[in-house]
Amino acid sequence: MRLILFIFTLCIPFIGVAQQQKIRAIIQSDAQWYLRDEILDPSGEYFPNERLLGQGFALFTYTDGDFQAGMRYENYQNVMLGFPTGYRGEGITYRYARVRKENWDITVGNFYEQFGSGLIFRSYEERGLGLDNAMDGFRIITKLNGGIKIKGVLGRQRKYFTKSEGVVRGADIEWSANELIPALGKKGVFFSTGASFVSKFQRGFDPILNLPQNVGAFAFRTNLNFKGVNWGTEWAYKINDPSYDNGYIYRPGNGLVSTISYSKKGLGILASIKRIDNMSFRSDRNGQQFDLFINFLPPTSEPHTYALVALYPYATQINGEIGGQFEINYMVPRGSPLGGKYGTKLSINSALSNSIDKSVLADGTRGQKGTQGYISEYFKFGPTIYFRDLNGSISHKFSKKHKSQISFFRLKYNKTVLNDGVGDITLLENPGMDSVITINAIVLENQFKLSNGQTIRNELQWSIADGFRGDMAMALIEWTINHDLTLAVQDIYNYGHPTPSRRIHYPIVSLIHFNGPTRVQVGYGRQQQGVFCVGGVCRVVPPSNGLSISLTTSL
Amino acid sequence: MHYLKYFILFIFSSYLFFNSCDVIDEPFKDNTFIPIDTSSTIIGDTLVQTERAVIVEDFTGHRCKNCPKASKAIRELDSLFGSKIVPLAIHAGPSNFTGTNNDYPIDFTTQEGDDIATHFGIFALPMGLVQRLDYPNSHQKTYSAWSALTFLELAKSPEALFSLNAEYDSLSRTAVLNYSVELSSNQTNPLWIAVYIKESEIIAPQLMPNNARNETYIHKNVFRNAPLGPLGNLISQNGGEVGQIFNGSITSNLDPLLNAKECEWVILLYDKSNYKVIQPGSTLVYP
Repeated sequence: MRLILFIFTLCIPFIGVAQQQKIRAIIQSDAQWYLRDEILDPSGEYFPNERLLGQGFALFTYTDGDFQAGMRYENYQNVMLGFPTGYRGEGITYRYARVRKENWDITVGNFYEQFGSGLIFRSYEERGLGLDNAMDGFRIITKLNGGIKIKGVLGRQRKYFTKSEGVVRGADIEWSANELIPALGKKGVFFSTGASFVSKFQRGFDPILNLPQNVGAFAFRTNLNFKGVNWGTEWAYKINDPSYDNGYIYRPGNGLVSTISYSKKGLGILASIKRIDNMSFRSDRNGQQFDLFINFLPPTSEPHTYALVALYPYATQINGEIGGQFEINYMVPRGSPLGGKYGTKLSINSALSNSIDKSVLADGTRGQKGTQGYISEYFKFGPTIYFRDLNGSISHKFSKKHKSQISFFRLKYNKTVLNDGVGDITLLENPGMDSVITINAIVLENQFKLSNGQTIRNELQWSIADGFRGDMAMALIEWTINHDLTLAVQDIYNYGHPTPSRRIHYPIVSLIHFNGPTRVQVGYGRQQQGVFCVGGVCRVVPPSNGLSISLTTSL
Repeated sequence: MHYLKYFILFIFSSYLFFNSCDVIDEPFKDNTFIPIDTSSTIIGDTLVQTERAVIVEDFTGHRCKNCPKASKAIRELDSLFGSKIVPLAIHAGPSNFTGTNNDYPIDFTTQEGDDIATHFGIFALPMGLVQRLDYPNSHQKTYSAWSALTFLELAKSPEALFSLNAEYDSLSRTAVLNYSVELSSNQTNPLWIAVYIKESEIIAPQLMPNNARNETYIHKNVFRNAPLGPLGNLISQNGGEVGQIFNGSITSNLDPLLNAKECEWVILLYDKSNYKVIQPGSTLVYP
């Protein structure tokens, strides 16, 4: 009843103001009709009982000067394969009212927020994953004199159509030196620093363990920019937080992310390092998958978009990882022998990720419930390779109507950890049981503009792997018929799969239509089993075959 | 307005810092929990409950690599609480965890088990229900939460107590459960009885957490059938008062493939309005 009253209250201002264009709506609907495919899924174990699955949402936002309110209705009838099936049914999952006036910004209801890079707090939504850990409570943001900005949050996080039992409260302060000392900006120096504190409360009852009911975490960060060089670092610490993720150990967690980059015209360089140690932080200590994460551990690897390479994504290892990334982009000047008339872009990227050192405790145990878990030397690598990535590309525009890019990839992918989800403690107790796959791939992409305004884009991909999925080849052709219609046809042939019966084709045909803010996509084909990741957070995608329809529009 | 900002900041910061960190120096509780099993007594051939019991339904699968961790959690509960715990391992849920193939040839799934999993919306394994609490929104509990919830439930006074008497004819493989349940608290909602048969000590392959296949894994508490159907039968539309007794008898012909000596009856009295189990009980099929 209170919810209905709340919605009604939100709707009152809508009456009579629709003509003032202050109401915005975003609507999305996806559905898939599943077909039985005895080649893709011989036993039918992935074939859903319900042939047609669909889901969608509508987000309404009302703005009137300093005031904003909104609500989102979601519907899962029923949730599509691969998404968390905790999404069942329908309802209003997000509603808020927000006032921004002078130096104040106050929100009640649901909100998304992030402190720094998110090491100890990030409330966000990623619809492609089915991840939504929106806060439900209140948020205050205020600006003080001298470049100080303060945020305070309090609430509980969303878990499908319910909320977490645990309460999250946090504060963040950030100081921008340039607002206090404007002379810095004149010298090209931009400096800011910040600190965050987040705590969760969850009742703790256990017949054996003394569980911490209040778990706090704090983080410090700085960012310095000077003449094209930008250096940002954040370090976080979390007190004892025994949980499902870490096997109920009482070791405090910590995390470090530091990135330095340099850019000038035609050149960009980026280097980053990251070390994560026991930094799973959820508002429910028994949470699994990506439910109720309070924090976000940013990835330090390049998210690949080419289909064959994207089948080997990297997922951040919340219980511990150490690694880094180095990337350089260089635009060979126009008119030079290599640059040609339009210039040539060169790119090299490398990333690595390993387990951290987890040595046994003085009593000879490791990872045991109710203990400190392990001992770890800060910069010492553990024995388990998680991921290696070395890739490069050359992109050249031959004429106004033709450009090409060729890319090379060499990956090392720990299938046991990244695909099968086996933890590093298990691997330490069973050394040599993990399977690290080496993948070499090459991609050639061409784009041609035709004289009638149409565009043809094609991709030829080839990957060779010494196990797991085996060798694959792919061809894609995308025809932009006009500005509102695109047809794409692709086929992946897994000709080198270790299991002969799985050496099959994965054809997909899709048609995309744009009409102003409306996008309609219809696709038909086979979906390969795999792991889909966004920002280092991943979900398992089951194999499927069928017709999919997607509609997105805004009003 | 200027000072108000600082005042709010001060209040908020103080609240956070003084209430936000429980650093635990001694993870294990001092008063080591020593289980004393006084949950039931045997009078003649009849098991008579004297304390509250808790059912833990473990939705599991032989191709689910994390499911043995949940089974381990059940064993821990068993060592802590003895027969106050009624464990039930229901092989149901995603078919890629429960289906059969050459490596995992035994089909542990049942239609009734699937119906229970569907009713409670089980979407991932391992997953559990503890006393079927918190239905319909947050009833699915991960195994790391079971001990705490069980502990809390057992701390409550019993709301009903079973007396159970089993008979078994080994020639006809006919099993009979005679039950009597006495309410210890007033109940106002419809009361239902559900009855299941489970089997233990089954040796069959199981996928383990290290991705290895254990050929000689011992499956325990495997749900086999539900003589009254997956959700059972109504025994009282309007609940009942303290002291009120409901009696009944259930007969089941045991499948020839089941080892009668390793089978147990499981019986639940539950509140149909929210599916919360008021009291579970269990006794051997072959006394």
